[in-house]
Amino acid sequence: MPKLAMFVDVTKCVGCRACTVACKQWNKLPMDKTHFTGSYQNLPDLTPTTYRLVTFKEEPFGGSVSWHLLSHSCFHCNDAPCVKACPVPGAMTQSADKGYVAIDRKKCIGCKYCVTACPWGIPKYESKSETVAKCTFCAERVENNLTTACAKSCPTGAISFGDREALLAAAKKRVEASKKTFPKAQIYGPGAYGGKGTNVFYLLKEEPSFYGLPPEPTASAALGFWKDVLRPLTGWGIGATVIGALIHYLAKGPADYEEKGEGHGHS
Amino acid sequence: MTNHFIDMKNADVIVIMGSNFAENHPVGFQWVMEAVEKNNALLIHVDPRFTRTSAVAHKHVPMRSGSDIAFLGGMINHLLAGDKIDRDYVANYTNAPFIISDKYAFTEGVFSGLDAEKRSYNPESWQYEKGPDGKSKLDPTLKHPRSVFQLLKAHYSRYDIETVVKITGTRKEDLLFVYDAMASTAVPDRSGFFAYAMGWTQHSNGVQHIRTAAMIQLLLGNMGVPGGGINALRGHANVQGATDLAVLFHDLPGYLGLPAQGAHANLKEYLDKGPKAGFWVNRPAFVVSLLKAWYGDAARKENDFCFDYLPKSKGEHSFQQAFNVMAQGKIKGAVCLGQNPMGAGPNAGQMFAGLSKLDWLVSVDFFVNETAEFWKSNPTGGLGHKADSAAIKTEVFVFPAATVVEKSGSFTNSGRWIQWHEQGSKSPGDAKTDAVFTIRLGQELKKLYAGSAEKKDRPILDMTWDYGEKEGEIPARVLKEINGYAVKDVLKDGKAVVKAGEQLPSFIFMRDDGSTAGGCWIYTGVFGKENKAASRKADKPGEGIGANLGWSFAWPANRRILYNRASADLAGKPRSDRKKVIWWDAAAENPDGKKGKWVGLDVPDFGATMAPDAKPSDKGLFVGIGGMHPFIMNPEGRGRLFAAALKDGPFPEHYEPVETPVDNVLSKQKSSPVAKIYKSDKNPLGTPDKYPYVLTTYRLTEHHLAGAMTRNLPWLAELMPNLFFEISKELASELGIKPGEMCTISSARGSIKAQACVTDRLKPMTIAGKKVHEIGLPWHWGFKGIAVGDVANTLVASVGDPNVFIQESKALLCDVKKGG
Repeated sequence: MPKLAMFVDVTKCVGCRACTVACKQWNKLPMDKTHFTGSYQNLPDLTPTTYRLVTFKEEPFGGSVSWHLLSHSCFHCNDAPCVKACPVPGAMTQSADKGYVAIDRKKCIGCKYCVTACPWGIPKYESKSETVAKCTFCAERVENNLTTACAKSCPTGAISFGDREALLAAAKKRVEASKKTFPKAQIYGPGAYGGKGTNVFYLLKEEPSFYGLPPEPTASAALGFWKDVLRPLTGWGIGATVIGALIHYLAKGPADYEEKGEGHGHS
Repeated sequence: MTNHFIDMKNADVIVIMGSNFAENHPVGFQWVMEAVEKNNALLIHVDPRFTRTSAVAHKHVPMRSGSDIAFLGGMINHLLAGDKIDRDYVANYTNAPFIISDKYAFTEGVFSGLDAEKRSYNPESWQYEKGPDGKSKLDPTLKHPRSVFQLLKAHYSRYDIETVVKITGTRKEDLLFVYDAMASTAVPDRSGFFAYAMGWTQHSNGVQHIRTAAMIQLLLGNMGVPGGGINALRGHANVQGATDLAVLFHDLPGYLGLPAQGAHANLKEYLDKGPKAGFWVNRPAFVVSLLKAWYGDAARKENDFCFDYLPKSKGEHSFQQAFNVMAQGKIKGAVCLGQNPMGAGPNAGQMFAGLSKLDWLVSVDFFVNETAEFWKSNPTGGLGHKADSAAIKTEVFVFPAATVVEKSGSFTNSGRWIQWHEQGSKSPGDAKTDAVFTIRLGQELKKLYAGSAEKKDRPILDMTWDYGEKEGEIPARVLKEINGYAVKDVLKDGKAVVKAGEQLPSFIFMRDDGSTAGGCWIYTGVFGKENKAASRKADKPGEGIGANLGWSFAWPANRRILYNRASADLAGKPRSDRKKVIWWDAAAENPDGKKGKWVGLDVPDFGATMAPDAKPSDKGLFVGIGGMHPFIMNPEGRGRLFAAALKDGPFPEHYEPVETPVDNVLSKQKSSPVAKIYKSDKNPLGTPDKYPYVLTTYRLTEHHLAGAMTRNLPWLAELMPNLFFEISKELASELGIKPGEMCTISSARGSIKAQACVTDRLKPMTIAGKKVHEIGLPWHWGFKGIAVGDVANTLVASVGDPNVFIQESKALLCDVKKGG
């Protein structure tokens, strides 16, 4: 099993967004143009230049209100659908010993197959570079025995980074303690894909669907088509570029961020 | 703070009120989270708005802005009426048994001694009754009708729960929830604290808000114990340090008090008018040491140690008053160092009027901020409203400043910890540190006055100003001077205890004969033999009470929990094993061969060898203080439930804000009879017929103060791009306002444009039978930077607390209209 993981304890998140700023700083990402649309969130979704986003969801709650703050980015799945979907050898890979999923943007051909494959819609296509971008798990830091930038910056310990087994054990303890306050508290991620799980997992206060997360994350149907029909082609020695072009032609990629424009976030 | 950030982990109950702790102090907030996680603490947030702090609290309790004293006064009544107090603590460690003068009275919301015309009190009738021996009279049974305890009971009996509901708009069951939660800490085994910030201070009776909470903590026995206390959350990293070093108009470093014209003609008069008992009897040594630090060899006994050089107060010279008289053309120049009044000052129209009348203005900042370019835009007309620049003659000089990572030096945090930091990178271009700027300015002034024979120029010429030539060495040299040093051998019983030239290890070595110098007595010890601010010996995580005595230096004398003598009983034993801090060890040997001293988990905030049964002495460091009196700074050695020290009454009393939509339910006295209201044509006050809604200003995590530091940073500008205001769904629906829609918010001072954040996190309240709506408005925006927006302070009035003159920006009146 992969050794490293991140655990996001939603009960401890105060939505300060230090994680998102640290992420932008470490990855040298530019500012996304935003404007106020009615919510603190401002940016409606992840973008090719925003790998981590805190969502703000306000809900009436017993005469008062609750405000759900969720810092999210790539789940770094084991047996990741995006890796499976990627037609270019080496463009999207999973670190065998650490577990994180990385995109080599020099190799990426912008086919957006990973975008379709991801159950959470994490990878984002950037039309300017014609590549896809997402959370890197701070590979350069992690490979040099440093924590991820987001975990490093989190002031309340909502994002922790470290040994996957230890974090899983901590998460189990936390979920029990949290049930007193949040009866529906649950761990999200490790059970995905029939137990293969993700390397970034969450302690949620509510059901996953409350946060707009799929309760049973699965890869899209398109992935089956790719895995069963197209991928064997690579074994026949056809060049990656050709395959990529073919897929680009066959698959109807989702609209990229720039085309979609800025929508409204949760209020 | 009486306690400190890490100590918060020891609390059983946490009431955050008047603060948005999680948003504005997210790093310190980790200790609140730790208390919740590891100590099973109950976390309550009392605030008009549901914020990110409320989001992680167990309970959010809404209340109307400006009703805090009613809220807390109701708690005092609840504790007293239900006998839910720590009775031993109250009887022994507070002034509850003291008898008050029979001239003291409280009628129709007003205390005795009011001069309504001058808007000030004469506190003569607020004093302790003295016996024939000149000593204060006490009734240990607390039954005397004029005992502090009985007066307290009578005063707050008016704050019954129904009345409090009417004033605050808070539901009865929510009030009782908070009251009973805090009441659960009345036992020695449990503790709780209040954390507050500008939500308490920025009111026309802000100081009394804090006092009410302090009184509650005395009643509950929560002062001097782990997880207790009153914890102020200072906004900027070094605001505590600025206060300690008296970057204020009314004080001298170490809270020595600025001499006043008329009252203090010479040093003797200034010193003689100080306290005659308590630890403040040592003030002469601290004052003379300060004068020696500032004026060096020129300060001699025969010239009153240059006491005449000190500026003498001629009344109020606060920030608000300064801009008021600036607008009258009475001030020629201003230096804004780490200060952006055009965005941050209350009543932006007044700020603009003031700056427009200056001959010259210096702005030292990282960016060219709103103050530096005030002449381009007049905030009263909103963003982009051009000022009549040609009519403004002010000459502006802008100096680029170095950021915190570009310099070394010390910060004093809210918990009084003085922590050293090293320079991380070099400044770009000509940017200089504030220290370099200030020292160069002093050097230039000295050059300009050089050779002068005039007496009035001596303060500049005699000022000690040698901090070396190397810029990097300046901060350490300044801290060494603040710490203090021996000018001559410091003698005790004829022996030299500190040699001439050596750094002072503690303020107890300061002398009033000129043999010592020191810039701020409470900091003495921070740089004795070594720079303890740089010390980094941390306790093991989870170990003890988190005092971390080897990490940095906490003033005074490295004490982490103030008044910690109160954690022990009269005999010096811990009142609770769970909440112990220090205790008396009768067998411990002292260097002088005598036995017995205070030992424990913190530095005792007490005479180290003063036995619990020690009788008050009329000599020594602690005049009048007995071994069972923990509050050593007060002459009576006790915490004050009744105090004559404030300008607006010995008990906190609820008054409506100066601008309010309702009458005062408690008395005919609507707002504070002594609140400061600045007279100016820029300061009209609003009435509810024209301005029906309550407005409160606040801050966000993503921006800092007036925003120059953050609205110029792309990553932060992205997170909070535009000025918005929070409005309840009910009011938005009434006014037809949609989420994100541009609206106009106006007060009697001006109007601004902001986008609507329509939310369930604010709700209308019923106040004395009337529906009251409240608007929330962050104040970070201005017309310079990447993220720009109108200046929220345009709406705020020039109104102040009578003690400290802070503005009333947390409760005022406004109107809101759809469209902008």
